Amino acid sequence: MREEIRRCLSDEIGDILDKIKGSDQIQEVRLRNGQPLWVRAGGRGFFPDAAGNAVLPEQGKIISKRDIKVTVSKLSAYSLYAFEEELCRGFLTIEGGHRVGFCGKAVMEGGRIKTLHQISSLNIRVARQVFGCAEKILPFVQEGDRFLSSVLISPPGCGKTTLLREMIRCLSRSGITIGVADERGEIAGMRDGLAQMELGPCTDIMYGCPKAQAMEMLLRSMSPEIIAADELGREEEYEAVEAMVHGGVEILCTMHGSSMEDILRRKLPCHMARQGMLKRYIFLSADRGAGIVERILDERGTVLFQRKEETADVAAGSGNDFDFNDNNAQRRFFCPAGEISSGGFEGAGAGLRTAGKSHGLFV
Amino acid sequence: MKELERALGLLENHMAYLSEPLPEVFFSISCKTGGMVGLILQETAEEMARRQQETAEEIWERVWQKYLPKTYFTAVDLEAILHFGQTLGFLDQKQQVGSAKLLLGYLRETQASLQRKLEKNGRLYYGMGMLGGILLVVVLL
Repeated sequence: MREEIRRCLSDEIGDILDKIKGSDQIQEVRLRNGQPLWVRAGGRGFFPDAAGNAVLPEQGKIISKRDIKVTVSKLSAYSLYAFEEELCRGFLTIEGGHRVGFCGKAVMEGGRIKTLHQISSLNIRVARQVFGCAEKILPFVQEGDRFLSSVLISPPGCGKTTLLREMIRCLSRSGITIGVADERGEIAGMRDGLAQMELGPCTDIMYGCPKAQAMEMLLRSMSPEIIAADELGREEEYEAVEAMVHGGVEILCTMHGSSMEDILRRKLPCHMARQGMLKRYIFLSADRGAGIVERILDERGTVLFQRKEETADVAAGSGNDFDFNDNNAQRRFFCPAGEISSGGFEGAGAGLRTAGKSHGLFV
Repeated sequence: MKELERALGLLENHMAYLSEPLPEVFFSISCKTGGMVGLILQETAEEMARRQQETAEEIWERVWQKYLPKTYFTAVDLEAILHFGQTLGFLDQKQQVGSAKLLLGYLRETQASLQRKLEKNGRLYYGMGMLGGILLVVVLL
């Protein structure tokens, strides 16, 4: 169990989590007043008992009002009043970049949530940074020294944000100035003005404000070469991206979606695709566990990379989302072979366009 | 009581305008307040910084109970102080400031009442002293 999270929990709950097998793989911890403690670890959710074993809900550790109060007190350093803005948004980022979601009685003012009282549920999401997971994808999003505007597309829980974070870090380390529009603090995990996640030495982060406004501010004030944002969804965000592209800035973003057809069915992403604003489309899936790159397309729909089915079997059953010390996990995140030359990915960008077949969707 | 009043005034301002975490606020105020109240706030800040298994309310009560015999606060005063502790760290800004104002109001009211008693009793004791002195002179004469 990560130390930053352990410190925020009561001793009893912390001990239970420590006893869970594979406690370093805990992804989520949920505390609900009057309900059993729930944990997700290794992709599996369960109710642990005092010994950390998965049991029926009735046999699990029941969370009391005091457990919630102690946890909230420790999370907020006994100062919930100092986190009003975070309470309005419904979550708080703690040391280490972990996010804690709150649920309770909403206090409304002027039709908007002003704050939360009587907090009844907490959802602690463990932040993870996977160093090196973007290494083999980067050649596909660069032409020489130039970065090509790219989008990571997948359903929720497939590793978009993790991959985005690592791509930002790697590009920043190569000296490229990157501006990050981090509306919900998920990319950088900002706390007290300090990024809890490593995003590289040339990264400027605007957080806590709508992405569209953040992008405009970054463009005006920080002169970035690349602007990165997570989960484009609103109309003004797509408009902001268009403005960035016309302003000569490259874009690195993520979108929800499962396929190119899915993307093209939506008005704004379709418009972006047809205008050629984005040069690379990277699709991830969670069919065999999070972090699998399914395919990479260019702006014409040419397939630059397609995952081969049999390599997916290597990943299945490994149990870990992002273990880059494990070769099998490496292949899972970026599988070689498929329709591309089997000699690895050196100079992958150059020889692939002629070798790949067109996706045909942009015609 | 004046020390606590001053501390609460500072606390109210810190919460309303700076939104600093409570342990830091208490520590800062303890340095400015001094005296027994300063000591109490300092120990409260240290206990909170350790982030053990207690809530803010429990820490507040434990520290006040420990130092109460060394102060001049009555049981009624302590009740008001502990009631304030029940709201510590778990309310939004407006309510937290309001809670501090409530205790501040109580302290000011109590001080005003004590001041009135002091003035009334002061006149009485002065008068008694004068009469006692005159009586002594008469007896000696």
